[in-house]
Amino acid sequence: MKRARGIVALRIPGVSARLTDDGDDQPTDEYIPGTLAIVEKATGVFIEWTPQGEDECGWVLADEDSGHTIPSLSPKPVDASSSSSLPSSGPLSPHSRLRFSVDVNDLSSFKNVEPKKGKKGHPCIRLIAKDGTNYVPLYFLTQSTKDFIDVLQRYVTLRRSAREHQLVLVVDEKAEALAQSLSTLDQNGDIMGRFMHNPYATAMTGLSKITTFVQDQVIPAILDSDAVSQEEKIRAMRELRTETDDTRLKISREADFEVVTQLELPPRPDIFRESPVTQAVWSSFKHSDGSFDQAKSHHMMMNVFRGGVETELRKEAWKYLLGYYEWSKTPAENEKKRAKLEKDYLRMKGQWTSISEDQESRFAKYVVRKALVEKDVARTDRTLKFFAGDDNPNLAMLHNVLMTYCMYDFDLGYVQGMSDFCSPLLYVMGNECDAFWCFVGFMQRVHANFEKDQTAIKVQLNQLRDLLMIVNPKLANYLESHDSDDMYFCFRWLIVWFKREFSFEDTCKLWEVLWTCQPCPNFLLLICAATLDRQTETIIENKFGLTEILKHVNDLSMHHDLDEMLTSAEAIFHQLSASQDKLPMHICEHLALGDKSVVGTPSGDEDDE
Amino acid sequence: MNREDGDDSFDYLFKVVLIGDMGVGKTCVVQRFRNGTFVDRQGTTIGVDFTMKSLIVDGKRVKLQIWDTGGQERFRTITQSYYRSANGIVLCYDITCKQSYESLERWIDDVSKFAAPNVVKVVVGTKADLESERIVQVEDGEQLQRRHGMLTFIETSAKENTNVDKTFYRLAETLKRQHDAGMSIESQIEGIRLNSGSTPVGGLWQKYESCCRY
Repeated sequence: MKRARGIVALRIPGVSARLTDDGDDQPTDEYIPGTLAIVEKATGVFIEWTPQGEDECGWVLADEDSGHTIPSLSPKPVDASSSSSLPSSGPLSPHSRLRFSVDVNDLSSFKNVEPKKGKKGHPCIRLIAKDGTNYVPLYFLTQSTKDFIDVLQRYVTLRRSAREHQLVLVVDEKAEALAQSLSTLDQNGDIMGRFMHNPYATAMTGLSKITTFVQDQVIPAILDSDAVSQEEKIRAMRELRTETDDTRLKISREADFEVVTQLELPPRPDIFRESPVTQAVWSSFKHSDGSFDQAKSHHMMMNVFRGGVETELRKEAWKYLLGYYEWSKTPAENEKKRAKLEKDYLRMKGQWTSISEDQESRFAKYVVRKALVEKDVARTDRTLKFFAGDDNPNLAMLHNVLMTYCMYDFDLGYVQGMSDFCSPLLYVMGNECDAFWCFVGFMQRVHANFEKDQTAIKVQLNQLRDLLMIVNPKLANYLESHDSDDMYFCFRWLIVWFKREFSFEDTCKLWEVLWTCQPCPNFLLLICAATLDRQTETIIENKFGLTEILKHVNDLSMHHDLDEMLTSAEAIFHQLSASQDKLPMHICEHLALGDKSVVGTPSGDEDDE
Repeated sequence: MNREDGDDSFDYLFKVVLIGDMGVGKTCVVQRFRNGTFVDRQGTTIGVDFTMKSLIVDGKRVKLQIWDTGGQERFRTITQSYYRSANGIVLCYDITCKQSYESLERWIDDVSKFAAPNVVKVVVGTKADLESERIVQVEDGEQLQRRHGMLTFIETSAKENTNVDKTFYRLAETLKRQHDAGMSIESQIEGIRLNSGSTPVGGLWQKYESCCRY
């Protein structure tokens, strides 16, 4: 099977993959040296990246000969009848999983990021496949990306996105041809011309009979073409939809539906992050008796919101932010509360630790629950040093906290995702009792995410869609026209508050920002909106559909820039806040805009006035 | 190679979805097949994700879009929306966990509600390397397969790399042949209707061009 080796059209050593390591306690940005190649094979032209020290030449061949399954998109022969038990793969280097090979025909686009002028850095290329897969970012350490792009152009037609400079699209010749045939239709029939000029009237008077035709064939094509302004496209889509439904039409005419979609928000202000709150700053908000000065509480919360808190301060600050300690109480009073709660914790822990094996044999519900906790504890953040290795006592602590929580809230029990919330708390607190009560405080905020009917999650997803309609109608309408307006692809973001999208350290930072409930209680939704906003052109220009959007969003994991997300989300908040009188009521409600009672009040404080 | 057709990197594309209780090892099975690796203590899967794997069956290029789903029961409503247009379903249980075997009836109910009637089903008993902890017998798996008219029953070990590839090859081969025999036209149309992504799922790419209008 020598055919697989192929002709190497381009080979660039010194192209490194960059790994944003999600595992370690310390955030490490690691460059993994390797070689980028474009290879012509019998089965197609492939872009391949291989980490240094691995057999780059002909590795597909080895794969094919031995029947090994190695990370490769390359087709390989299959003989299903004889492959009863394949030999297990040999030892792979830790970076083997990053190695990839992608057919140029599967390529949808790539991001080409040049280092900012006057700044150090290397040009970077991140390939995006038609199925939405984002490959590992590649940094060109020794040369520019020009050779790569030049050689790639031999095989595919490339066009730089007019809307987002960093995005280079692989032009789909079929779509281009369709756009051309559309313009022919336009010239001949004039229907399209009229439609574009005044889609609403045309739809109402003449197009109703052929609406199906328009919806099925013309609209998707129009959406793909660049001939019409985005606003027209959106309006056309909307009009056609409302046209089929008299009731909705009425609403859209009378209510602020139209106004809403065209609402112009003021420009986004520039927002800057600040440095984390230090012990000294933290203490400056306290009275001499150690309790917090209520008059300064808003100021202090804004400080935490803008910069988070220093790592060393987390152990103390989180207890307050999560409502375990009370702001208005002195340390001695809080210590007293802690002593009482510790007893409480031990009492509840005793309730399950005292269940004997004999009892278990007649307590199926408990046994099932215990099994769930055990399964998840064994695989929660195990790449973190804190939870690594067998017989790690921290695993036992995590298990104990979660099991005790089952006794604290037996109606809810244990649901997947809860261990994600618990693990950072235990990491920071370092002991079961404090971790448990912080967890109780956190669960008060996210309890609904885990409830059986899942209404809360769906409500949040709907709210996110509503928000996006205002913040970025272009993307919102695109999602709607691609069956993605249920926003299910954001499910993971919301259910565990971006735990799977960020490094451990960034997750801690994000959470403490969110716990402040500043500048509004639903700030998490604004972060989602800001994150999606940033992906607008990538999603639309790659013409991603339902599955590709999900894949793309999933693959963003560990490649988000937290500070940028936070500043954009805050900027969007200010945009909305400045236009609150024009916003529809439900948007104000989602964000509690204009609700003065939530601003500046540290939540979870029982004794708050 | 033919450069006129922009999408000639495969001949068939099938969507395969793994379902089953949490912790049975669905992600490990996918990882083994996709990357040839076994990661012990694989993190829990929240929501859904998919990976692509290309195979050659009968000289044709078959792409499998393999969907890995979170096993938490209450998140099903979310995950269902992604697997309703599946061509193949891999139902997984853990041979050391009775509960996960018993749950399959509920998962099968789900499949009958949300997947096309002619979806190809495979039942997989995972963690076959843990023979000493076995609770579910081979016969139980076989019985389930027969009762629900599934293509095959197979026990796998992602850890020891037993039967994982075989399961997917078998599925790919069946899907391709079924498709060639024209048996899956219905599900194909269903696939187009429910899955309006730019990557149509459910069969021969070129045939889409002729049977559906874009």
